[in-house]
Amino acid sequence: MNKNAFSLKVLLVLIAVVTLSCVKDVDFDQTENLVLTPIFEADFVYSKVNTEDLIDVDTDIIVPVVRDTISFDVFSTDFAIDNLEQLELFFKFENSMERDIEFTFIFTDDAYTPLHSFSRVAIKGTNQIPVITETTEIFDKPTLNNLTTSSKIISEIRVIDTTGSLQGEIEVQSTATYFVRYQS
Amino acid sequence: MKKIFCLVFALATGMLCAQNKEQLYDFTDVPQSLLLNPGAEVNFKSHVGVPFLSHIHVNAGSSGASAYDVFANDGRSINEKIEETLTQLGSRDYFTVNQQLEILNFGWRSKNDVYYSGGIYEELDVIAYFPKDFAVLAYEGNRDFVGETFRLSTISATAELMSVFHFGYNKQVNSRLRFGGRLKLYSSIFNARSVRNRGTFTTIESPNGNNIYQHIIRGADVRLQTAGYASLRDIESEDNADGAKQVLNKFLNRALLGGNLGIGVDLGFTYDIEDQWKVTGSVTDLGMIFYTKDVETYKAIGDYTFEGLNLPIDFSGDQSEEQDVLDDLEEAVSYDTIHDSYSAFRPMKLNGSVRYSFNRYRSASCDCYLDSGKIPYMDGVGAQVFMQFRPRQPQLALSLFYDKRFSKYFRTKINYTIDDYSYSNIGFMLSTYVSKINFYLAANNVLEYQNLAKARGASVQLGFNIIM
Repeated sequence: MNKNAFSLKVLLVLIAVVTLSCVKDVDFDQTENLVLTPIFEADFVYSKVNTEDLIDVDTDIIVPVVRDTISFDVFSTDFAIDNLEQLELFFKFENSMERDIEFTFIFTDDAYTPLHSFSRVAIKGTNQIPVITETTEIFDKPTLNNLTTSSKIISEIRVIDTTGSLQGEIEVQSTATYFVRYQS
Repeated sequence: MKKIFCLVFALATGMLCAQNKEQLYDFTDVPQSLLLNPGAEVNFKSHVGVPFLSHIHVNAGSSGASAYDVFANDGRSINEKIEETLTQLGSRDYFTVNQQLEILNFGWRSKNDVYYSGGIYEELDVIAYFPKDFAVLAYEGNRDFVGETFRLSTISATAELMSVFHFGYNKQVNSRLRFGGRLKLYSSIFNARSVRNRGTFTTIESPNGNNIYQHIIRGADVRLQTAGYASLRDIESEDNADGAKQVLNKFLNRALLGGNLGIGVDLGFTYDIEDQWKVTGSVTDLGMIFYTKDVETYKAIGDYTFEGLNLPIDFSGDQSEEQDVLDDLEEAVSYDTIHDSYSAFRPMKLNGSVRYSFNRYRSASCDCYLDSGKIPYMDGVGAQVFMQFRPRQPQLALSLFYDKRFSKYFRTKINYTIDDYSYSNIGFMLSTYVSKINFYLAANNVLEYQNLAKARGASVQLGFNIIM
């Protein structure tokens, strides 16, 4: 075979290999079906409430409402609005007081306008046998949609029994579980 | 977020290898072999590369997975394939992209038989390690990983766009040894690097703590160094109509020695052990760049433990004292933007080869390539080794090659290479020489060209030169 002709053929074959290379058996449009569903779990609030916290030291009478405000603007972020599918707030109350204590959480906007609230009762126990109450508040998507301007949580603690000893302590522990769903 | 996740995955699994040019190395018919070994054999009197067309190089690879692994059209859901690939990829897996465009290349032989060569080329070099821990965190969350540590050190990447001005020297020192050196001046157009990050993030159960868990950031020290970014960002923020033109002007100015400058050398040799045996070796890009202009470094350093929000903090209903976890976090883990200069070594590369030549051309009227007067061997076999230093560990490649000269006009080389990307990497190169015009084309992983989606790495080099 003429060497130049052979050279030309080899050259053409290599050029063909490089230029006619292809990407096949793949479908990049599958990204449209990509659904990421990570679940993040984080501590939410905690507290230890004892007798002194519930009684006014000046008047020695029970404080009607013990209130606190925390900044919590997770729901108003673009990420949450677009991708947060569900939120579960898990509470564990350990009550050694002989009275039921109610905890209320009020979600508000910057102007303290209430947007959503819920209450849970820490069931009374005794100093010897504290009672553990575990409860979960679920925020579904429609509820979360109502909280897109939420930026604060007001917490309120109320003594709702009129009888029984206030000696003791309530320990509150909680976690928030964020169910995320990324989908285009 | 999803787009970012897809981008990281697409890049990490894309088919787009190290800067190994195993076909071009010691392929002495092509002047660009001097850029891989300044001490390579040179048998021509002079050369000029066709401007912008003398060396076009694209090289990309992923050490852990291919695009096919994630995007295969095989009826399985993409989520299932991503989960499998996530399990398969480790934090030492990486993807790289390296691209070079030669603007100018020239060389000539002096009267004292020294071959001088020089030129300018543009180079883009990116390497990003797969941030395994945080990819898992983003894909699955932390709920099922309580007690497991997510390492900030898995975040490691560098990107560099620059122009390189170089001038080299090549001389036959004695009958066996040829030595060469090349001085390089780097002008960085853009640099970003985040390496040697430290620290961990862990969620642990806390039976004796204030709350159910503790979320602990320990010993965080994360930095992103940039040079050439801040001024580009300012252009964007001005929303100027001619923003693109301004960016181009900045790039051109930086490319023409107006950027952050650096200096480096290439050194190499060719040693004829005997007539048919030859060894070569080189070190290239032994140098560093000093980033002093347009520098911006973002760093976050500190420790933080989060147990939730403590309530109540007061009993008055006073709403002026609100707790804000982000304020606490920012106080504990300081985030700063600083403008201190920094320097970085170029990713040094080592090449070496041993070659056995045979089948000497027998014709009395030799049509030897370039009429150098030296009767060539028509065939050669040998082995090559390549190593490139990278932020985590060197990248290594071993090649076996067969080099065949068909005529004055045509020479080929075939390589079999083992590297991080593949154990079945066949590369092919050809070079033609007609009427003083040299054209060369090299590609590796050619077996994968029937479906590049399955390739973990691919590399192509081509160019035109005028050789005399």
